[in-house]
Amino acid sequence: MNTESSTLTIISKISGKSEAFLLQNLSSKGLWDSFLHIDLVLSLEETFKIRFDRDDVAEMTTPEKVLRLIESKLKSDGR
Amino acid sequence: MKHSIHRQGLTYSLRPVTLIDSAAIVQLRNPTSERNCFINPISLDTKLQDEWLLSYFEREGDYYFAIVNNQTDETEGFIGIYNVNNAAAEWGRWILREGSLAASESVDLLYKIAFNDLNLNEIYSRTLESNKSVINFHDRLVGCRYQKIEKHVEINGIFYDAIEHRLSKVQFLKDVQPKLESQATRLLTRSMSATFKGLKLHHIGVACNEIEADFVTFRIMGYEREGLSFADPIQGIKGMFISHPTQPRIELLENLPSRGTLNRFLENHNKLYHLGFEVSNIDAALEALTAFRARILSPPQYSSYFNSNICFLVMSNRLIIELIESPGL
Repeated sequence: MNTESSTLTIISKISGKSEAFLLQNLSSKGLWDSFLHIDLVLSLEETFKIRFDRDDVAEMTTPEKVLRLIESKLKSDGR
Repeated sequence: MKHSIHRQGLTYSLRPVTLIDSAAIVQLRNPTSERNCFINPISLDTKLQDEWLLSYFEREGDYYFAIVNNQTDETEGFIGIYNVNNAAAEWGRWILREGSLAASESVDLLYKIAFNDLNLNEIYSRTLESNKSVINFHDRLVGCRYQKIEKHVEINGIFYDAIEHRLSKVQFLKDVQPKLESQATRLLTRSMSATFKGLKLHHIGVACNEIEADFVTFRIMGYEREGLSFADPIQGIKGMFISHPTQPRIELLENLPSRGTLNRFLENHNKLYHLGFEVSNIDAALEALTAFRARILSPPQYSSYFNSNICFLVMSNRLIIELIESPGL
């Protein structure tokens, strides 16, 4: 599973924004609201079998930060 | 106003705000925080917040709530209903701690209070137009925008336009409640997995007419006594643990004289009648399971055998489980 591609697919599906748009706006905040933020957290946890703590959830404000966070979590899990 | 409305959700609950909440309100609404640029600034002085709350307690038609995490009992935010008039009211003062996942359930609970406890027919919110994230939240839940109110709010000398969303009770029940409840259910499943991380099967409970007679059968398979049998007068049973090098531990149980705790299991030949699990926090596990319609057969109480608290529950599928607190898990 390609982490970046899978993550962008999930963000795209939840936010309703195309992957191309997300790639052009990796550092943009406000691409999803707080309702979708919960959906995003739950979907990413289910897909990657990881667990976000409160600081992680607060940190996930842009597509890029979400990507880096997941890569970091998978790396610390030895995956 | 001083009120007593509580609403319990799956992961979060709403309770009335009290003076104890002053410091938390000030901390969350800290005007120096970038994320609070869309809300009315308040003083960092807790005493002034106390005064505001004291005047709020006297104000009719104003219901201010703390958003509390059911598992940690921590306050994660605040939300309110005010300006109640002709079966309609405004809601707002909504703020959550960074990293909180209480957004949807806190709003669901607020709507339930508005439409069920307060018997309102309609509720509305007014959000600064520049607060895109919250506007999107309302757009998603409520659908169409009701109106734009120009120069609705003045913050630090600047006037801001607001967008008003209105939600009727009928629309809530039909369209909004299912979305919010669905997400709340997913969140509960998530929190359950945290509660039961490290869950460990401790033993299988076997109902016996006579422990020693059943033990003979298990000895054939290589089981040995772990220790002496013990009596539990509260449960009305006598028990003995037996173990095997590679197989699950088993607890053999028989009724104490003149007691009938195990009768229905014995009469139905239901020998394997309970599962015992070790959990790190028995209260959290109990709360999580009762949220799933488990009924408590015996509340947590100290067991000298385990040197910790144990309790028994019957699950909605009639499976009996025993929880054994093992903080080291």
